[in-house]
Order: sequence, then C-alpha cells, then structure tokens
Amino acid sequence: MAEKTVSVDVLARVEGDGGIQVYTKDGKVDKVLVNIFEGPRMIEALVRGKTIHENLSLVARICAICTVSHRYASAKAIEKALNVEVTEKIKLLRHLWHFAEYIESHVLHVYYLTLPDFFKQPSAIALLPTHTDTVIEAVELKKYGTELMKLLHGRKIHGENAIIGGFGKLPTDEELDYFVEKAIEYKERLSKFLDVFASLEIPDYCERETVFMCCNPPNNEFGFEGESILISTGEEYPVEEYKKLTNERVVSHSYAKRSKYNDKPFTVGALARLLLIGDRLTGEAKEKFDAIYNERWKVNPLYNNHAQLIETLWCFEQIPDLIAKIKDLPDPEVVEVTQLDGIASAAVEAPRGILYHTYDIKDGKMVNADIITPTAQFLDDVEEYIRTAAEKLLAENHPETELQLEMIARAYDPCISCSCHMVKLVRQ
Amino acid sequence: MWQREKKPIVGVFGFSGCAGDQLAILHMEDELVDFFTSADIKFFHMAQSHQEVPKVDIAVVEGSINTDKQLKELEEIREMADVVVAIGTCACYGGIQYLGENQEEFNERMQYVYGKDGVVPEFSDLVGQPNAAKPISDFIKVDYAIPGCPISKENFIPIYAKLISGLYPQKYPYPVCVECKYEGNDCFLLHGKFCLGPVTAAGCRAVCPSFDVSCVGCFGTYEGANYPSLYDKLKEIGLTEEDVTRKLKMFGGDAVEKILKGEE
Repeated sequence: MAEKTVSVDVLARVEGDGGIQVYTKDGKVDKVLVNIFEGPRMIEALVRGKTIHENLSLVARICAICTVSHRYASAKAIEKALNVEVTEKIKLLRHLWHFAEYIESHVLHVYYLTLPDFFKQPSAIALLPTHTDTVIEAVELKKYGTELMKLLHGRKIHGENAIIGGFGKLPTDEELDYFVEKAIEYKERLSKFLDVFASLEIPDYCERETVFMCCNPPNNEFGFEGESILISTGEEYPVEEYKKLTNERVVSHSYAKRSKYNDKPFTVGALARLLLIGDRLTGEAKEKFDAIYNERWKVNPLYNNHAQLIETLWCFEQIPDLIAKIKDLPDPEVVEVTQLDGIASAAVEAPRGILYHTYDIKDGKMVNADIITPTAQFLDDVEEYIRTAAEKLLAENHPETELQLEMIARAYDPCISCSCHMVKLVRQ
Repeated sequence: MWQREKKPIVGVFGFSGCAGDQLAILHMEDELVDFFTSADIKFFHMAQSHQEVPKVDIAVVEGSINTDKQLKELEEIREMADVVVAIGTCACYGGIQYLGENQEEFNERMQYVYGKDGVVPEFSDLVGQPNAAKPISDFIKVDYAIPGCPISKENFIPIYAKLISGLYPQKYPYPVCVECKYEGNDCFLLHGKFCLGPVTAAGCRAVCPSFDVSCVGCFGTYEGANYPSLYDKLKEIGLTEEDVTRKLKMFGGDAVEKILKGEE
C-alpha cells in the first residue's frame, strides 16, 4: 500500500488556527501531527517589566473564551505571592464570575461547535431551520453566561473590573437577582437537552486508556480550583510542583508547547474532572451524571461533551445559593497591595482543563512568568486518540475519516489562542 | 464599492490573537441570527466548517501577522476580497504582542519562551516561520479599521451594517473621554488618578471608567490626541515618563510607536 496523508488543513469550529496531518506507511499510521500554526505571541516574555496590574490586563488577552480563567489564575498567583488576602465575598464573587465563563464556554462548545457534527451540518446556524428551538436555546443560555460575565467584569470579553484585591465596582443585589431567576429556568431547559444529547450515538473508533488530571478543590467539594492536582494514577501533587506534571517541551509542528507526565500523554478538562471528582457532585447534576455515565467515558474523549453539560447544569444549580451567600455579606473595599516582592504559582480549572500561572515579582513588577494552558497539556493525548482512530478508520476505508478525526480534536474543546491556536479536507 | 443587489459574500478570518473579536461577534446573541443571515458568510472557521469560494465582497480580518504562512494567507485574502476590514487592536495596531521592526526583542522573546540551552528550535513549514508581530496594514491595504480589545458591538455593528448595505461607514472622531461624559462618570485624572481615556479611541462607551477602573487604552490611539499634555498630567500625579510610555505601548502598537518617534 502506498504512502498517503489524511490532512485536515484547517480545523474548524475550534478557537484558533490548527490542523491535523496523519501520515501512513505500508497501510499503517506512521505519524500523527496536530499542527498549531497560530503565530507565537510570547505573552510570558512580554509581561516582564510590567506592573502586577498591567500583567492582569495582558494575560487575560491570551484567550477570549477563557479570559476569566486567565485573569483569575493571574490574580490568585499574584495575591499569593504578595500575601494579599481577599474577603469571603470577593472569593464567592470570583466563583460566580468563573461559573459565568463555564456556562459561556461550555454552551458555546457543545451547542455551537459540537452539535452540528451529529447532524452533518457546517454550523449551528445551519441547524436553525430543522432545530430552531435548540439553536435559540443555545443563544439564550450562552447569553446568560456572557451577561453575567459582563455584570461582574465590565464587558463580555476582557473586562477590567476584576482586579487584584477585589472588584472595581460590585454588583447590586437587584442586578444579581435577575441571574437567580434565570438560573432556575435555564437549569430545567439544560436538563432536558442533556437527556437528548445523552441519547446520541457516540462513535468508538478512538477508544484507548489514558491518564487524567484535575485540581483538587478544597473541602472535598466539586469545583474549579485547588491547591493540589489529582491524578488518575492515585497520586497527588501540590500546585507548586506543576513542572513535574507537565514537563513542557517544544515540537517543530506547533507554536503551542507540549506536555507529558511520566513520559505519557494525559487529559485535562471536564471529562477528567468528572472522572476524578464527579462523586462530589450534588443535586440534579449528580443524578444526571449517575444516570448517563458508562465505562466508555474512561476511554473516549467524545464524552467530554457530556461532562461539560453536566458541569453547566451544576453551575446553574449552584448559582442561586451562591448569590444568596454573596448578598448576605457586606461589600468589602479593594485590598491594598503593600508587599512588592514574591514568587508563587496558582492553578484554576479553565473550562478546558488545568491552567497554571507562576510569577516572580520584584518591586511590584513581573520579573519572570510561566503560564501553562490546558491545550498545551492535552495536545499529545489528542494526537494519540487520533492515531488510534485513524488506524481503524483507514483500515475500513471509512467515508468520513476526516470528520471523525476532527470530532476527536473538537471534543477536547482546544483553545488554540491559549496554547499559542483547525478544516479544508484534502486526501493526497 | 459594490452595490447591494444580492446578499454580499463575507469571510471572517483570524490570525494571531486571542480570537476575541470573532468571539465578540458570536457573543452578540441578540444579533447573531441576523449576522449569519443578512450576508452570505462563507468563511468563519471558528463557527463553521469550510465553504470555499474564490471571491468575497467583504473580508473581516482579526489578529496580527507573525509567521510567513500567515502573511501568504493574508495576501490571498486581499486578492480575493473587494473590501478588507481590520477588526480588533491586533489587526489594527499589532496588539499586545506588537514588535514591529524590533528584531532583537523578537529574538530574545523567542529564546525566553521556546529556547533551550541557548538554542531556539526550528519550526516546520507546516506551521510557518515566525516573525515579529505586526498589524495587517503593514502588509496589505486595509479599507476600514475597527479597533478594540475586543471590538464592541456598538462600534462594529454600525460599520458592518453599512458595509453589507453597500454604504460608506464613518470613523469615530473622538476619544474615550467624550463617551465618559455621556455616561456621567467622574474624571480619574481630575482626581489625580491614572487614566488613558484622553488619548484612546472611543467606541467602548467608556466601559472601564463606568466600572470605576481606569482606561487601559485597549482601543488604541485616538488620532487627535494631545500626548504631551497627557505625559505632563500623568507625571504630575507621580508616573515617570517611562511608566507612561510603557502603558501607552501596551495596546498602542505601531500607532503609538510612530507617534513617539514623531512620524505622525
């Protein structure tokens, strides 16, 4: 059998610019490359010499979809380094702010970017004539997320209101009340959609075992941040030892760096979180997870979509109580920064996985920065899943090989701008 | 300018940046269906699979250019489009990663981020060879520029709606301060606090000052800005000249660079 290439030149419906190349030799898959051709922006280099406040504005611009996670991780690391202790109200408001991003990002990913694949359509908008109510629902649910982000940080993307030590302006009780009412309504609608989504047939071409990692949230609760990292091997590491977990390296076919743990690729994101700490879920999210979970979740990244929907449901369920707690607490002043030097690492779970920010600060300015994004961590694993699937798809001469491979990459919800940045289909 | 007889064909393209301007379009939930139905959107990789056509009436381009692969694609877009609209501060001015002709700084940053043992690895032609980030106008003729980090709905829709209707849009000829007055905000500078509002292009409806945080200049420079006066004021409240320049350069890219060199 001659050598051939399956090429997805530009991967569509993901954030940023990447592609997939599968090279075959003697009928077997020889090499799989997920190319990242979003140009290098070198954010870690450009924040050097900037003030801590300037750093916050700059690192949020790494990615528009996870702008909250970047700003949050950065504020956490800087505050840790400089011993800034924010009040309970600010911590809770930051959770609400982060939940808003989860709703925005997960709804965008599952409804807008993933759903069209199951109906063989190019976009969510193309589903409008046949699935009108679902598309309108997608728009409304996402709007909930973006409007809540706007309330808390000033605009839907890159708001400047979340600052070191607190928020420039705090939301009023009346502004928050709107989001309580809507959360209850949207939880019901999402729950119905989850049932429909769970009934879709999930292809099994890519199935293989891997390693999962996520933050270990405090108090044995479910959540999106923590001071240590849980691994599916049973190990746990403090966030400060992140380099042992990521072992970043540069590859020639990607401006996003790559990670391996114990020389093995691994997965982060919603699927990893549910597999590792899903037993900590509560309420309807827990009931739904128990109802739709099956053993294939451990070997098939396409279930990341289901995991994202469960998390979205969980966020909608948490918001009414969270807002009630926020309203009960007095409005704090922004905490002044008095210490000028320090080093610290912090991790938050971006919607697509663990996000590490580490800074060395001197005289209130950034001396060194190290930022490791989820996409930089899971790209090696995406390549391995694509390799497994490509071998089966090519062996049976599947008519939709490219689409099946793209679906794997898309399921990870890669943020290519984050990782530094996928589809014209050409078979050579 | 083409005349509206049928729906115009539009392509939305992205280069190096955070994809925030394309996302800002997807985040216009109330106008989203109208956006996708009022024109024939053929390219928008972030939101839809590929629909290749040889020509578009309007190309909407986000992001800065920093690989030779991107430059080639940008030139192809200019070739296939009647009208090119730059969206966002990256496409308009180079954005936060702007390096212009500063090859030395570019080499140092590549070393800092990708280097190992003093050597920056070679990158494959599959992803293109890296260059210092520049705005798209450094390489092709840009017909309209809509800055913002990210663009605002209030700024984008009036210009885009005119373009798809075959009409000529107008610029925003005033700084953030004007919008700040409309919003009824108190002035940071008058209270001895830092703000870049007087030298920053409007279009955001003064969102940050409205949240009681200073303008960081993310929409880039306002053309009629009085820079010497801003330097004087900020120095008066305790910033050094170096501080002011660093803050102006954060989002100002090539426009600020030219102004500081006295070219414009």
